[in-house]
Amino acid sequence: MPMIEPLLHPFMQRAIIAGILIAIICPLLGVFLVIKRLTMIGDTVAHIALTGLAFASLLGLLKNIYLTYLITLPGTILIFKLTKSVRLSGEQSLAIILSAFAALTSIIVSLGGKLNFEAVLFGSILFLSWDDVYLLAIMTVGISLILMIRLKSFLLFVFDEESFRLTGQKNEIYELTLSICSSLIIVASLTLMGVLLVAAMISIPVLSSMQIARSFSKTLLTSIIISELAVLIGIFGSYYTGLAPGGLIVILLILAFTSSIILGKAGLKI
Amino acid sequence: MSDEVVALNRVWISYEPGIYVVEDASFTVNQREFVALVGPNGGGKTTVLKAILGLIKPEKGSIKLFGREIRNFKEWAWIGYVPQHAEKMYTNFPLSVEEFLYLKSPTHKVPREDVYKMLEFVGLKDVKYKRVSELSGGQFQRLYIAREIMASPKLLILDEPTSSIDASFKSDLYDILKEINENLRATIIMSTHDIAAISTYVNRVVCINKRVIHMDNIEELMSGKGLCELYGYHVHGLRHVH
Repeated sequence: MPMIEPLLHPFMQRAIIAGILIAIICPLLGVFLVIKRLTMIGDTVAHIALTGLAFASLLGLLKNIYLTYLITLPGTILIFKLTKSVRLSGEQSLAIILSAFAALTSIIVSLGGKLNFEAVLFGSILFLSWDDVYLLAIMTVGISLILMIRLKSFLLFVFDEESFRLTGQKNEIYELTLSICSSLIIVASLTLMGVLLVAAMISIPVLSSMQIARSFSKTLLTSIIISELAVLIGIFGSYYTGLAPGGLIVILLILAFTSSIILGKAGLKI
Repeated sequence: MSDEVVALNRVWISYEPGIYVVEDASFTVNQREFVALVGPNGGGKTTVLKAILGLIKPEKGSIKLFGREIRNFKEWAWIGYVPQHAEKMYTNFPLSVEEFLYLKSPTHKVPREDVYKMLEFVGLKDVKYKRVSELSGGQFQRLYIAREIMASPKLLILDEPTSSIDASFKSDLYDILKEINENLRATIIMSTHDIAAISTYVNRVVCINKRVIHMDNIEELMSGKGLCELYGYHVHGLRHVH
């Protein structure tokens, strides 16, 4: 049985469980970030995380997720703050922060930080530990609960901030929650997806389903289905071909995006 | 409790240090009044409305809502707000018309019958399954107004609500506003350039061109002299005849 055989390997079990979790939480979070016009936040946060990984390696730590969080969390909050206080658009502040942290990484690496760039940039099935999977599971459950319980509030916050403020709820709390959730999920997804490709999981499934969905609920559901298909086919494909899983998954997502544009233009709406 | 729903007392607002867009503005709006805020573009109408909503903080002066200083006011659910050019706010994101109407009450459920009734009321029943981005500017404006009315506000603030609405719905909209003002006892503040509609629908006007320009009644504003004083050039008001 060719489909069962890969599942006998613990590294594949870890990759599949992690992939399923990432394919739920990334689009769920991504849908709010896309509406807030922070589509590129995944890329920027991943670059901040790369600085964290480089710094950890400079200190002689092979992979220290807590140190990575220590750098990524404030960096992500800074993106949201910069958008507010300096009157920059989301994309403008992302461009500045991304450049700043990419520069920092380069300096840290030149000071002696050593990274396995292939695995860090493009992801790897082999480096995924059970600890990574447990962490991802806890975060997926926790963040999904927060977002689903307050779904309408988050939607109003990203869609119509003035109306949101008039509900008497604090926009700072929602802003902070979104930035912390982005940071937590992106760092937890890095091992499988890689720094350069993790952002695709946040934005491409949502942008694909937007081409064909008529409502928010259908956009959310379709983007999770697209992600799950891409992740599972990508991981199995990676096992059989030896190609990087992150790369395969993103190529599949791009195919899904292209197909949804064609279907959307042909008038297929769900 | 006093009858005052909104009370501005010597309010000064600036976006840049030393340059005031609203100077020393004072006026009150009482319960169940339908007040029009009129004045030229850039005269501070939107700024004043946003200050009443707590979205902009005045540099000097005080604003009271329902008798309380705005910083102590918590009952924001009492207030409905339709921003200027609401139709331009949204990107191509797929949010259905129905989902949009549910958004206003994030913390409690809205009965589906109320949603359908409201869509029929504003003439949007046939588009309930469309994305909001597929609506015309006028349809979206109506949808936004419907969402705010559905929340049964005690104070409804509208910033140039007829700016992208066609003539056929304009008088329907004023009739809806008049109805919720008279029958649902909502206080309404509406900024507008539609001078012609003012005398028919509103109880009172507040004229603003940086400063509040006091006029005793609508007739005084409608006189060529009043409009000239407000807008700085000669304009003539035409009255709607029903």
